[in-house]
Amino acid sequence: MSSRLACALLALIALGSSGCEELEYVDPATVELSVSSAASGKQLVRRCNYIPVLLGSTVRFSYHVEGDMVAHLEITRENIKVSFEDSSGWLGAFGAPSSLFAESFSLDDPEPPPGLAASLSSGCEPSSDWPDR
Amino acid sequence: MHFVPLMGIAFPLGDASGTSGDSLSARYGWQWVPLELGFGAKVTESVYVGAYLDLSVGYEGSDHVTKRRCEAGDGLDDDLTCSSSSAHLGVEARYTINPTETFAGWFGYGIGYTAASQSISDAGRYEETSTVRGFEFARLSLGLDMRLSRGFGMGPFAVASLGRYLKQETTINDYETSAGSIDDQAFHCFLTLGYRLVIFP
Repeated sequence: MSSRLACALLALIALGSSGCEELEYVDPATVELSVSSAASGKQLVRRCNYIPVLLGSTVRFSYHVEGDMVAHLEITRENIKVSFEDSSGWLGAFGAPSSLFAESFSLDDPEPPPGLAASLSSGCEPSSDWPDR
Repeated sequence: MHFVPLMGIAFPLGDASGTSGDSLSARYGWQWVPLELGFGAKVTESVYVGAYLDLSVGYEGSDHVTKRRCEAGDGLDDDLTCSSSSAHLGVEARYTINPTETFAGWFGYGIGYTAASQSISDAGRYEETSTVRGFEFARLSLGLDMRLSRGFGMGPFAVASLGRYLKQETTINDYETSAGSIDDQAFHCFLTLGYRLVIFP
């Protein structure tokens, strides 16, 4: 009985100490923007970002896609929006509520710019030198 | 010159922005005002004109998503911290109704700059701060000073700081992820109640 108790305590301590190293209480959700060539599949943009956790916070980046085309990414706690622009003007946009990305979720751009494929997906790992622009 | 040491509490009212659910109290908890400084001079026996500065700190607001995260830490083996702060800076004029009496009532109006910030930090692994800045178009104040001597007084006061945030910025892990105007602005108020010490009232 006492040896079982000792084993249980040891297991609990081991579990607790290993867990402490990995605990991350804020645990922000993440989203990856991926833009690639529809024909070749070549990756043009692949960036992982945090979804902010505070009311009013915003993450906003612009990424060069190809030529003079730029992808604008705006992430709030409420929504994620991607829009494309080049010298001729706006080429389209897509997005989804941020809450969807708290779980495993992926969204393809239903109407991407001609020749491209774009998607948003959850569960990426920001690089150690995030935002790595 | 007047001080408000350790005796003020500010309650957030109104909205931080026009976004649904973005009330001031959702972002910021009630604020402890450890210090308010005012420097100015009496233009007449009854009229004071001067500058004010107050800084306050508090916990996170009532937003349940933020609160749930803030309460997840145990405060011992994690370094999870949530906090909020606010600042008000400007000029004001006050009128004292009965300046030569022992008990002197007063009221005032001010105008200036205001800012507020909320942050969450998880043992250096993730830090996020959201800051807003704006215009305080009316700082309405009133109080009652008890003159204990010619150069010293004290008494209760109330201040309603009415403003509108115009700019916001977000930093995550010390990187500024956005900065710019708030599209959907709204009116807010910090209502401060306290007890102040006054030198040369």
